[in-house]
Amino acid sequence: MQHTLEDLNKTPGIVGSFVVDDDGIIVASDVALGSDAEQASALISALTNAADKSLTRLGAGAMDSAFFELNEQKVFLQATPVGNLVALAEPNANLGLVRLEMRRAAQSLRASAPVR
Amino acid sequence: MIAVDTIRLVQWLTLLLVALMAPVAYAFGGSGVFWPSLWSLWAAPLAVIIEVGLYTMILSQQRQVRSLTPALVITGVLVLTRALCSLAGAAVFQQMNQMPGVESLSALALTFWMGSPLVIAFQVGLLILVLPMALHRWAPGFLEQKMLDKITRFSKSQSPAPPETSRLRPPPAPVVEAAPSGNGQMPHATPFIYSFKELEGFLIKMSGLEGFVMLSPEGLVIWQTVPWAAEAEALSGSLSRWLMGINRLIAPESAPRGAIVQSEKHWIAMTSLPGEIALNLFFTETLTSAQVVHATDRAREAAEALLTYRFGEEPSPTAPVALSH
Repeated sequence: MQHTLEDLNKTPGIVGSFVVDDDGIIVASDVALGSDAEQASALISALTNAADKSLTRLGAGAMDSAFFELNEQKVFLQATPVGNLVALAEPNANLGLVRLEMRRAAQSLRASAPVR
Repeated sequence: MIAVDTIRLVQWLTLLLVALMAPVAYAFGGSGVFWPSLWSLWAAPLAVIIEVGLYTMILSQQRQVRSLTPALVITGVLVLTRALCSLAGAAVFQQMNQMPGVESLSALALTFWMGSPLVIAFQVGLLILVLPMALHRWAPGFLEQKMLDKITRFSKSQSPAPPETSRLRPPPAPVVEAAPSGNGQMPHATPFIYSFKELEGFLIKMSGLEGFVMLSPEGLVIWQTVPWAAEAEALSGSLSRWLMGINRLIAPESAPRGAIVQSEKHWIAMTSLPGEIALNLFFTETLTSAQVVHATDRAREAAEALLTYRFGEEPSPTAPVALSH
């Protein structure tokens, strides 16, 4: 999993990535997170689960991926069997390229995920 | 200064020329330019068939219209237009002169309508020339995109600039729309947007867009068109809260610019407009991410143009919006 994140971070524009599970625990990380990283990841997980449930309940289907743009950062989320893969990117990062690499990373995580 | 609508002027002059062509031909060439023996009643259907075939063939070859059905409809209109022009020309001619052997107005109109192949050829040519401009005004859906773009550019280049002192109805910024098909994103001009209804009309024409919800800063729906989800308001509210929550975690000091969520069945784009208004757009899952980003940008431009027009530089839709539906 760590190797997958390292590969993902080689994509131009991506400055870091981590995987947070449904319980809000950081499963793997390859980014310099601050001291409140665990709290942030828990909240990201909770908020994403809430959005995912809203989408499903209202007939839009489960959330597959998301991308949002802030003034100084782009954030990408990709649902995987082990949790949400989150990538932090520069404002000028190539959307299509990052999404493609996120999907590849998600496939890699899916392949390495333990069978439940 | 009187503003002249060049395209409309050309259309009216052409119709006048078509109507007066037969009388003018008679004035220069006498009755010899007409074939009186042709205008017996049995020849009329044959003439109509030939004319219909001619128009259809020209329209199909020039590829001005989208398909055969519009071509046939336009052909019918053109046949009728030329017949009416012939009648008008005959009425004018009869007031001033008489053609030997032709006394009634209907017989004279019939003579002018189908009596001279040369006149008919000129009339058909003129009508075909002015047709794209007429279609652009009356039935733009019939025109091919390339022709539509060309005439739009021409009409914009002809329209005079508005006087700087006029403040009665400030024109909103023109917006552009994504190309309706293909992977290329070719912008083209669209009508100005003055109301939420017009914005809805503009947005729902965008390729792949299923609906949209515009929310006030308080989370109340300003305008929505979402056919597939009765609870779009709840969904939009939930997603907007999600976006704000994530934003507070990652960059609490800055406002989010927008987000795109891909679910199993839809793309959902959330974008911020001036005045803390949120615009959430729902697209089909068949679009690519690039198409979604491009369409979202176009939709935001259109919505911003409308809000700026309605509320000025700093939109504050809370009170007036309810009255403006």
